[in-house]
Amino acid sequence: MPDQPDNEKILLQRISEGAQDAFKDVYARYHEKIYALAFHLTRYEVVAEEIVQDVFLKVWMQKETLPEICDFESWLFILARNHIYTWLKTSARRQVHETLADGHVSVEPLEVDAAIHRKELENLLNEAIRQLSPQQQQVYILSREEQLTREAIAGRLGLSSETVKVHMSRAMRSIRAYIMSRRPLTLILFFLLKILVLFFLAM
Amino acid sequence: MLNERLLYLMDRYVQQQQTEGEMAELRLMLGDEQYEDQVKMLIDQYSAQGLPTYKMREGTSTEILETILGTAAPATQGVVRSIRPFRYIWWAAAVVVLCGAGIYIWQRPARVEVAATAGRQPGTPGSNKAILTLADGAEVALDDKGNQQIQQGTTAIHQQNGLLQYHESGDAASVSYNTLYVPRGGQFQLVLPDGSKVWLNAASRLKYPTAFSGDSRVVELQGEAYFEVAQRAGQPFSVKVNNREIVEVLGTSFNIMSYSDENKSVTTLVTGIVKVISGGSQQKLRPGQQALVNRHNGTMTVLPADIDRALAWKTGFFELDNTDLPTLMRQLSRWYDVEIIDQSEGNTAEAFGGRISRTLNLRDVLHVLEQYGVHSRIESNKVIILAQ
Repeated sequence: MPDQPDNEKILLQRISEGAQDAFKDVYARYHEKIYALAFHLTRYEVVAEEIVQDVFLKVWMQKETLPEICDFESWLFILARNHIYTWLKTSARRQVHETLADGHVSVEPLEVDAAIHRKELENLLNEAIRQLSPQQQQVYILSREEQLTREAIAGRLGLSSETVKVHMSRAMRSIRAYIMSRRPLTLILFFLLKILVLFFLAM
Repeated sequence: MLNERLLYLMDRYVQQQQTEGEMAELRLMLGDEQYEDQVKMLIDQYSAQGLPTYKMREGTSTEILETILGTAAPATQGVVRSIRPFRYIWWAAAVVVLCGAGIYIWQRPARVEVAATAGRQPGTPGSNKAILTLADGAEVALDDKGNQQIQQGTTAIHQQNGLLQYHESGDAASVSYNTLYVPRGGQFQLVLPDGSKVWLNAASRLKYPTAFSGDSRVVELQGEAYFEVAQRAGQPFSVKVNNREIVEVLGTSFNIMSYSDENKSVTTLVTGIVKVISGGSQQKLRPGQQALVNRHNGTMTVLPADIDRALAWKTGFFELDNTDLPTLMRQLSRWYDVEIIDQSEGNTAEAFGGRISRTLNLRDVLHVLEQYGVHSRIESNKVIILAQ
């Protein structure tokens, strides 16, 4: 499409003005490619989906600046690549850490950060939970605080196990987006990975 | 120069042929920031050389899109949700006004009577309107339809619909003060001479100079406004709030709510840094925090902020989450310019949730509140909250 760059400039301008339909167009144009790259490198569907969400959330959060970007596609892929790299690095360190005996590894700066911000993040998490729908909240709390399995939650709430799965997955996405939109990635990645693990357990 | 071993290990990994030992070795390299540039370069290469087709799980793509678009406005349910598509209208309109081509109509400022709400049906939502008071005391009524240019000394002021824009004259010698007053049932946007943007909510007033000279930029606010302050080194921006409180700014966006009928004035920081000074104490805010200053004794508390809630008015909403009935009613009173008479004796049980569009008629808003057990009646320009 020869007119694509011009067309894209218009779309970006419209996104910067808050046009959701223009954002949807840009999302439709790129999200599968970013997903493919993220999945190729992380090998987890859930992680690749989170990366797609994080990248486009960032685009949406800073929509006002989009018209200033000369080469949007490159910019977007650099953003995606940086997210993928951060995940690879963090997840590698985490697993190295876990395979070594306690005390053999010095505390990573990232974790110190995470500890300092722990209280703040807990507050943020609570805020994020409060903005869920009542049913998502219930499912989240039963899974997180009472550590119930998906089947047990389904039994308790009289829902099908599939429905609980949908609620859980929406709740996790919504919480993550809420937190990401308010805090930069590096500080919270550890924290989010923990949530992610719980997410796997609940599935 | 690419590390051959890294390249080999990454290839094995993406092809899922790596041995346990190779994976452990790769992890050590991935976790080591010395390889950051190389790993990033490799990711770019995978991206450039084309990838196998991986399809996202069904429905996930839409779910992610909805999550992102819903994040600025936390998810709600039921009646309230169906109203949400309106949330960007005012904001979008403001931006269109900013970017749209101008029609210039020269008009001499005329003295007007303050009658901004005359002829209005009770219960219709507020709209763009304001009264501008010039340095010589002349008043100019501004409404949504106006397109005009006002010349005041060397300062050119340009109104286009709901936006008033000042252009810096470069003549700092002739500084004078203007006041933009937004009545109950109104809202207006202002671009100050330095390019800083201000969104004024209903029943609010901002006093500002027509040019910023000297070593500071000072404006005075009553009521509620959202600021996006243009950065200027060596000329800090500050907002005086009810004579007691000062908010000092360094290139940043924030909301100040300081109505005389609220117990506390609230400064909510979205980006940048601000310092809130009240009496003898001062506090620096970080993004996502808010400072609450007691209107009576000036004491200050800093808390994590719900930014969406603080900015709901600007996005075109009344936020119901964590809002008590009296607070909501004061907001309705300002926007619909009605008097609220509460006969419920605090007897309204249910907690609220969600948000309501400010484009709705008052009757429809009250209808939504019915669902939460708030019963009310409209009588001319009064809303009476009934006991259960």
